[in-house]
Amino acid sequence: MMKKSLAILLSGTMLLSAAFMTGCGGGSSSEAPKSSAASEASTPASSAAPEASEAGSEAPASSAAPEASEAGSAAPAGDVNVPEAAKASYEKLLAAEESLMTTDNHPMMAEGLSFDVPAVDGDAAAMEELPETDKNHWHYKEYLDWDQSADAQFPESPADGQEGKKVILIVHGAHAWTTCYTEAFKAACDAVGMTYDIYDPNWDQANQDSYVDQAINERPDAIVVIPVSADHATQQFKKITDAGIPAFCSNTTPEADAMNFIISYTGPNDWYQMRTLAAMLGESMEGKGGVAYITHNVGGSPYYARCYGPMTELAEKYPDIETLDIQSPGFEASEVKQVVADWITKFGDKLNAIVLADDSDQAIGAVEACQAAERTDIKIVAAGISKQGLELVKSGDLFGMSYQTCQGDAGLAVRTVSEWFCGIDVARVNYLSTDIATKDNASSFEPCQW
Amino acid sequence: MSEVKKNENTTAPKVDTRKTEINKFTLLFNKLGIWIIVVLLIVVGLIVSGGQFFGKSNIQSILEAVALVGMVCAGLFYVTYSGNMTDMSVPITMAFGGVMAVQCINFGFVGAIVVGLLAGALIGVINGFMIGKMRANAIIWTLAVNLLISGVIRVVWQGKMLYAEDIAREDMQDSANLFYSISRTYIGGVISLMAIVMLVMFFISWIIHTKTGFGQKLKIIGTNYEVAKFSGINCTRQLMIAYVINGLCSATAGIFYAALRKCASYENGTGYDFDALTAILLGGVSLNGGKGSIAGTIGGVLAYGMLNNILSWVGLGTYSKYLVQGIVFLFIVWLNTYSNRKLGKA
Amino acid sequence: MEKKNFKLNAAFINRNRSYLLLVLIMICGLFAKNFYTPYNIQAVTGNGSLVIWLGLGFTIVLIAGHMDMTVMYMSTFAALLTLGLHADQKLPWLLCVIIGALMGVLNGLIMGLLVTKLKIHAFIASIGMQLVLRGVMYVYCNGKELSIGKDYTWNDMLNGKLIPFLPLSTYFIITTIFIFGVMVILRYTRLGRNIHMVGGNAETAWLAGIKSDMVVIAAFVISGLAAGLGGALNGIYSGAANVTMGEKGISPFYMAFTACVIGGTDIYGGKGSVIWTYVSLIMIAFLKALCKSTELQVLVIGAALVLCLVYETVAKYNRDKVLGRRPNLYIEYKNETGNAK
Repeated sequence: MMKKSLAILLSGTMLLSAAFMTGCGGGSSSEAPKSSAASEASTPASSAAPEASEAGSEAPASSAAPEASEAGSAAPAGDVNVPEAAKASYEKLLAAEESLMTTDNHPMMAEGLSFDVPAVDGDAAAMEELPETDKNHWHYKEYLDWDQSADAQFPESPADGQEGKKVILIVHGAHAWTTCYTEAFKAACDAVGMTYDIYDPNWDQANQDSYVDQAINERPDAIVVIPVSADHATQQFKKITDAGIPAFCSNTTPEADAMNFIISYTGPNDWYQMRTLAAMLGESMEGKGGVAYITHNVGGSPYYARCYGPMTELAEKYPDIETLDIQSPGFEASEVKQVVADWITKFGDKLNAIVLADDSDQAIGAVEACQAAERTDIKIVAAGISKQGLELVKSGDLFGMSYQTCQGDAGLAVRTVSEWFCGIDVARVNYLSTDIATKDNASSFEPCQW
Repeated sequence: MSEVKKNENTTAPKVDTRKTEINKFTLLFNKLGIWIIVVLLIVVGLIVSGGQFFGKSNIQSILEAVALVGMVCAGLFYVTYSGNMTDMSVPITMAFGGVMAVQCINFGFVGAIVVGLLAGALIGVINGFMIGKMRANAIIWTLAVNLLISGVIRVVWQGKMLYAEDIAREDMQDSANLFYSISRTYIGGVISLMAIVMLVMFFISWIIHTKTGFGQKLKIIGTNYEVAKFSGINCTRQLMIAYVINGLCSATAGIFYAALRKCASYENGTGYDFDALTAILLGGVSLNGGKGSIAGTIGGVLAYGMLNNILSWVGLGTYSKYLVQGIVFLFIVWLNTYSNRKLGKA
Repeated sequence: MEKKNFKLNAAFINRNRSYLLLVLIMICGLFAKNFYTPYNIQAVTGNGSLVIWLGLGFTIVLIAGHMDMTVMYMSTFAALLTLGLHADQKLPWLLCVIIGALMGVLNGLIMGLLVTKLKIHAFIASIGMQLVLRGVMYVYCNGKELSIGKDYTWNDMLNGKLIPFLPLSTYFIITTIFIFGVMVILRYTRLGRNIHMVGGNAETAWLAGIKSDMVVIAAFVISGLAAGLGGALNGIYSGAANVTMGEKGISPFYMAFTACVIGGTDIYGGKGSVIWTYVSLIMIAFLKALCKSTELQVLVIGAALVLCLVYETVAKYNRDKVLGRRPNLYIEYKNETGNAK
């Protein structure tokens, strides 16, 4: 009896849960255009903003945009040619740009920046021959220096504005950063009048692959991906572009070859920031001493940027600074603490500075190890801008960290997608504005975004 | 009849050629077990580090590194000891304990800790019921629980990370700070609170194991379940207690972990199942159950921490460490099984 | 052929639960938007293929009465090796795939020897091998990601359709063929029957004259081969491989394991079929496509696993009661039914 009733119970539960899920699957898309608090900002889509001021806000600091011109797309100089059909949408975008602010009071949808790509002779294989401390060794990782003749056939922009378009965002995984990013993405989408769907593969590569397939299956108007891994990105973006859907890449840099299939990349210039940070660190160390590195997840773009970026910079400017060790203990405070404690015992006074790839868990572990060993003289720098990190900066435990606006990142992605829908030529690479947070200017980054 | 025939057929008297004497080495290893390895590791460590191995900071570093694993081991010992191999739901018990403690920080510091511990005990009760009463396969069941509770935490908190100071009300910020500080307190400025808690837990565990009826009963259950059943031991209850102790210990580790990390999420505690099992097996606790001691487990935990420490002294990267750890693990487990078999204990 | 009695009862439902669940998911799919598009079916089955290879390996070892948790790392290693050999040594794809599969075989052999000759419990041995494999992988590729580069020939081939009108990728079809091959081995050859027998009762099998050690090693080798070959092909199919594959999210190992249990393979060994696992894994693949958020996927898969386990355990508990294998329970049972003296 019990067996039978259990079986019935089992199948019944299965049926219920399946029905529940189906409901969720169907319902999520209709839920999407829910108005969030931030969308209030989108209402004043007045036509008050004259054409001239549009042009003014459109011609930003990036007067030198060599990549854009190289890509064959005319840089937006002076008037922006917006097709008639997209005028209303474009004005909405401009209104959103003015009104949306990040929680720490920086503009959320600011114009992206470009950086010069230095020339190197030789391909990626030739560069790998160089020593790891040579800047050029990492050239193809640092700059999205791709072969533009191999560009795929991109889909044409509809040039009728972004309003009513559907975007699918595939993030990399659940994290406080991601939550902040997706909230900002939603707010920005609401402000410019796009609908959205967000997939979260939980840091799993295979999962992200299947989400890309699902996203293509939904046939949205555009897909934005934050790739989990740089190498997989090529395949993912190839799939999307082959399916005739415009592909945008956000935040983490893909392999340079993947750019052949990406309409535009938006995100922080990690390498540049880490170099700036390293220069600052080198100056404060007066050009001598030993540095140890704790890396990001091995293999991802932040791994290279946040370990070898500062290393090459220090090697170039301050050749007396010694690299002691590189370890990848992951993101557990206790593991990092142990690694740092071991370093302190092992290297003793030779250890003068530590470069971290993360300013939350890793920073907590490293700072605590130094405090436990009463080695507060060790200078620690980190990448990122989290609440824990900023508190450590304010208390002086962290010497400095790079400021990467998370909400601005999402804003820039939405902005780029919208511009593309409006028929404007978008730059192939858009970087966020950069900054370094130290004890002196920490207050300008408060309250923290995440 | 048949016996007579047999005798007729055999021409020469049969000599029993089976070995009866016991290898000295296996006996020694079986008695002293892990502490030989601990001494060995200390010697190696002294050589590698050039005498700094016993420095204050290094001892501190080893103790802190093993504190969390040690806390888990103090409870997991009973599961292995009772013949149920291991508890694969340790990671999620840790995560759940941490998440619940942080979520309930508004009940005050003590309330949060109690809720966290209760959460761990709850998982212990579920495991204990299914494994003790229903005799489910321990590994498979705990794997399933791990997946299920992980799903529950992910869905309920949407994969977010929980920060105590965000959840705490204005007047409760003090308890949030107190919560964070438990992983950062140093008794007398030398030994961290975590290490003390670990040692206290081991001490309690040792008393339970050696001085109470529960420990004795568990030994019989671990050695032979059926025999235990027929000698009138309430196996279900003992196993339930074992799993609840395990849940409590894992949750304690999880709370300290959340405090150390300053945030709680579903991924806290990943990998601690294998780490703790490694330490326990190094300590000579038999997977078949009924054999092992708390002293051995402490040795295993220390050996595990010292091995890591020595490997970083040698200068191996995080990932080459895995290779060495794996080989050492396999070797020691083999040595354990081998010496047990030679002594006819397994 | 003799016609079997067909009865729609709990036993029937239980026996065919993997098929019924698949049907259930397919019915649910009718209500979801964009579910029955050729693209979706091709993508879902293709992406689910890696787990099918792992599930295959896991099932065989489980039937033989052991647990092999290394399958996931084995396949990752095979994928890394395949891509690495193609990129660095410029070997042709076929050779790379064969080497990747052979590496899986080697690993299966080591596992088999550890379990049978050194008498280490399979579960523990696989934990140790996991660590070793991880170390070896990192040493091999330095933590870097490896990709197929710009050579899309095999990638396109595996992603493309083998039969023009059927929306199934070549990779999935290869998987299916391999699965049926293994099913034939398990069901109709001496080796296959021996694997079942050793799993059911190793001692009896040994007494019956089966070289149980060899059989267990063979089971591990087949498992290694499946994981290696599947991993190698998956590396090419998905275009890149990295060391941390599957360490986050729902690991492929968990899905393979869940499918084994849902499919009905006995967790104590001796009973099971790769087809059950295969069907359950296809079911899980579609289930994942059906519930969009990862959180929900984990919960639903976990709930399904726990429900099946509870059912099995309770059924076994009751069986033990009735059969009198545990006399004290038998008395309880008698008391319940009122037959006790």
